[in-house]
Amino acid sequence: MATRFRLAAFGHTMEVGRVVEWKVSEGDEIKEGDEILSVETDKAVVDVESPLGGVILKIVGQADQELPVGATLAWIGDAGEEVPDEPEEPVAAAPADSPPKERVTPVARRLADRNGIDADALEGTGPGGRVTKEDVQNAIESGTAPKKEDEVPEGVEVIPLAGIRKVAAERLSANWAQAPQVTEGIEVDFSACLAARQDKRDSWKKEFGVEPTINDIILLATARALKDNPALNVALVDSAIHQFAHINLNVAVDTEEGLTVPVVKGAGDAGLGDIAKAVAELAEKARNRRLSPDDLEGGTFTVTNLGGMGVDWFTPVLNPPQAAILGVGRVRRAPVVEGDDVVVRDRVTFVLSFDHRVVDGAPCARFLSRLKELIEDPSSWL
Amino acid sequence: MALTEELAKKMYTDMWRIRMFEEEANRQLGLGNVVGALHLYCGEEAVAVGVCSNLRDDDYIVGTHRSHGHCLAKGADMEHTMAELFGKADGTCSGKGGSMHVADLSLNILGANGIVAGGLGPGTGTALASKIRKSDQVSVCFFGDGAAARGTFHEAITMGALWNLPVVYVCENNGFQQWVRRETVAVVDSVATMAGSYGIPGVSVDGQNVVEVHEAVSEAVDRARRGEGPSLIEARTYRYFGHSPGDLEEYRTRDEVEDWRTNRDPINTFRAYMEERQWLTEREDEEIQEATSAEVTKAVKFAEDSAVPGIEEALTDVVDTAWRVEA
Amino acid sequence: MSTITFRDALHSAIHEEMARDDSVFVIGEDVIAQGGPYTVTEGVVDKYPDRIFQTPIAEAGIVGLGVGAALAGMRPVVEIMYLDFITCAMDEVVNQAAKMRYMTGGQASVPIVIRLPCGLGRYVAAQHSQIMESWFMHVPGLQVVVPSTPKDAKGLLKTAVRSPDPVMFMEYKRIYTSEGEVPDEEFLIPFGEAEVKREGEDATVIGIGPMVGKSLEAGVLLEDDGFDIEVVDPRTLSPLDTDTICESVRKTGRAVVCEEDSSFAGTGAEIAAMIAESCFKDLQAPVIRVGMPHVPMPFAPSLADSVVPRVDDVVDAVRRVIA
Repeated sequence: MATRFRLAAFGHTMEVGRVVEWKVSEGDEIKEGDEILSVETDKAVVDVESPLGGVILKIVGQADQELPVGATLAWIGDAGEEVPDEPEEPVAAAPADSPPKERVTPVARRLADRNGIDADALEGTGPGGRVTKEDVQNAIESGTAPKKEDEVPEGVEVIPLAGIRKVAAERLSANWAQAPQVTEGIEVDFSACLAARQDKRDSWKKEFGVEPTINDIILLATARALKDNPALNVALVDSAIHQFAHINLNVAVDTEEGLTVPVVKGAGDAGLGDIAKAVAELAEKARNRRLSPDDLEGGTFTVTNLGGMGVDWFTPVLNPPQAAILGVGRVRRAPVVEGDDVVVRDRVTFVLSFDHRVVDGAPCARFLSRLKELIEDPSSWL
Repeated sequence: MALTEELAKKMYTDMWRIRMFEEEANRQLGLGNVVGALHLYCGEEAVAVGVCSNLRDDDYIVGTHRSHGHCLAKGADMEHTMAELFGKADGTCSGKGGSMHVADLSLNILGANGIVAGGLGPGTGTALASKIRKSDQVSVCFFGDGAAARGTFHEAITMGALWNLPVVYVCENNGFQQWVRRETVAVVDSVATMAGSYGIPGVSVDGQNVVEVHEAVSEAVDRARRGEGPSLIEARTYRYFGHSPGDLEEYRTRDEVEDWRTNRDPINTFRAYMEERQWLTEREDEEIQEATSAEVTKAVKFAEDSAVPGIEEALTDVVDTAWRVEA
Repeated sequence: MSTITFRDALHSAIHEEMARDDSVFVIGEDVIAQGGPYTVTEGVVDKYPDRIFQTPIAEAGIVGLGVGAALAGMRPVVEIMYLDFITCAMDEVVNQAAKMRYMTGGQASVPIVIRLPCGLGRYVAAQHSQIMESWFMHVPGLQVVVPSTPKDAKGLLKTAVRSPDPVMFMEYKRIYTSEGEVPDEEFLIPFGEAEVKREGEDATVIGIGPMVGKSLEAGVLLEDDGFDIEVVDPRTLSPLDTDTICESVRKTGRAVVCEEDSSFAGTGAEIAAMIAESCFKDLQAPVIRVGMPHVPMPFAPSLADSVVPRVDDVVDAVRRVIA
């Protein structure tokens, strides 16, 4: 019977051996103990004796081939015998259900993307030539990483999303995804307020030390309207509605670094002077980047005004966890039908966005109506 | 080392120092000042003194569980040794070793050893160190006859003999292996005969006769120092106390103990030897005993006055935590 | 840097230390013949014939002599041919070497290194394949060192030789022939300093010895799952660098401890318990251990290969700890 002759371990640590030369050829007759080949181990060249006599039927392990211990070197048997046609070692089949794999591992791509590197252009050293995290790291360390910018179309500058912009982006996305936002708008006649401001400008300036702006007047009216409609002065925190006793207004301020929204505290009980002074102070701090965390915390409702930039109206996005935000457009001269006449009046559009999980449309509508009333007849409060 | 009158007086004094130290230690055990196992050396003084009277300060000794005598004979300070038995901070081992681990590395006393035959390997190892360093230091391994039954006895002496190491194996054969008589558990009577298995000299001497011990060891130490290899010396001896506290001593009679104490006491035997040579007057004998008694009293006072170790000491000396290497 | 084998790294460490310090010597079975079964002590006899001792087969005696020589100021490097045989010398390791400093109140120093070829190598069954790290870890006074790469093998062995206290130096037979980069210049690796061998963010895999390499391989495979693992190699088990392990676990929130030895009452058990005590609030899943089942090493290659943890076992464990 043909016998398989395997590579044995010639030392404590031998795992592979290299066939140096065969001293016999296929068909040769050998005796047990004949030196039939030499094998190089990690230590030395060993002459290997045949463990049995017979005829070399087939030489499997060829000269210069490196073989693992246990690999077949040759078949020995009787002359003319057939060598069984069986594979060297059963090869483990790849699991049938394993999905085809990407050439770049997801982890490697994550790292490459974070560093603006084109992982597809890297050479892979992982299983099956795949690009691994280590390949990306090595490319970064050696400074040979191909930049992803290479693929960007001409004329496009890629600016990484970072800092305040990144935080804002993440918060806005989360907010947009979570809160069902509804928007209501109302157009208001601002003429009375303007007239009052014209009348009292000098005395206000004397009394308050600052000259109240149109926005200050709107903030005061908003605070009064909120006081009458506390359903909007709420926040949704951890599945609970927080109803605020006080009214703290976030006021959007545009700075070089982007939008910031400091808080005018206690607006519900404030007079025009208090608000004007607080806003002037906060705006000054914001411009000088001196706002403290305390200036930015504790708001219950937000007012954002783009009127100064000529915008007629817009839909503001919620400032979570607050339930509502008021967007203010510019004061503009517009024709208005009064009775049967067309007259020119000063008009402003207010747009309110609110979180419908917390507050319904009707209270919001009541708030806007009350705001309209207050703005159109300021005699009681201005 | 030649036995001169001066050396003899020192040896006689050392035998009393051991005797009185051990009797006092036993008394302190009764008083509750010493706790734990206490293996007393009374009756065997001639062996420790006969051996150590041949050694230099830089020679090594390793001991057994019954080793106070070895330490004192090699020069250990009585005050610190007593303080160690008391478990005090000033003990030779800062109170962390106790009776079974007294040691003074500054005198190359590598310590008592609580494992029977535990010292044979390390003792032989110190001799290997001397050989590598080409110093002429000699090592002595003390062990009991019970140790000869252990494999480490065989392994250590095999290598000591194989490499001609400067070591003297001293077997204190007191006839008992804890609570059994040697003849009930041993096959050969004399441990000295086992030396033949290793191709080294083996002699058996009267362990109650300090002169005989001294002379046999003198020859063995000289041989070792000359680089001619190890020797095995068996000293036939007897312990007056039980193995340790709690020994009911059912394996022997009071008469047997009394017979050894009266007729074969090593101190009496040596006194007679010295008187015969007019090396010791009655007056000198009294002075030696008085001085030794005073030394023991002082040692007890020192031990009593020494502080108990701070409890934080329980957590130190596991490894040298101050040692560091830089990457 | 040169790329050399684990075995050659140990070989050069011994030669360098013997050249540096005359008190270093080698003792063990067959350490002259063939330079030891693993040729780690090859050539020592030619350079330092007075500092290498080829012993009879007497492990208790070998370690015992080593302890004595160390007490006398020498620095023995003891080879125990197979770790399994150290059980014959446990008195010398546990009662003599480990306790000597403590019992003498700090007087004694026992700077002995005991090299312990261990784990599954060629298939030589239960009495020639054991690991026992956790036995040694449990003995105060012993330092337990487990290199996983040629660099660590060299740096840690050089440090071990210089240590004033006993070192149980684990040499996994299966990685003697593994290759790695080793600095050409002199270097030491301090004890008690783990190394993060791969940085990652999704789970911490603590690998012992050869499990470090397997964990790194698993790390590549797990990238396909989108999992980026961190691999921490403690390098010394006693002292154990708990800070580095905890820092990693706090970052990833998940831990898998991998060893080749039996998990039961083992090294991984100690590390898992330490993590649970120190980082419980940071953990998002229970710690998982990967190790050999609680059986002696079988002989048949098919059986032996089935019980020693593989790369797949690490991959599975990480998937479970993240799932």
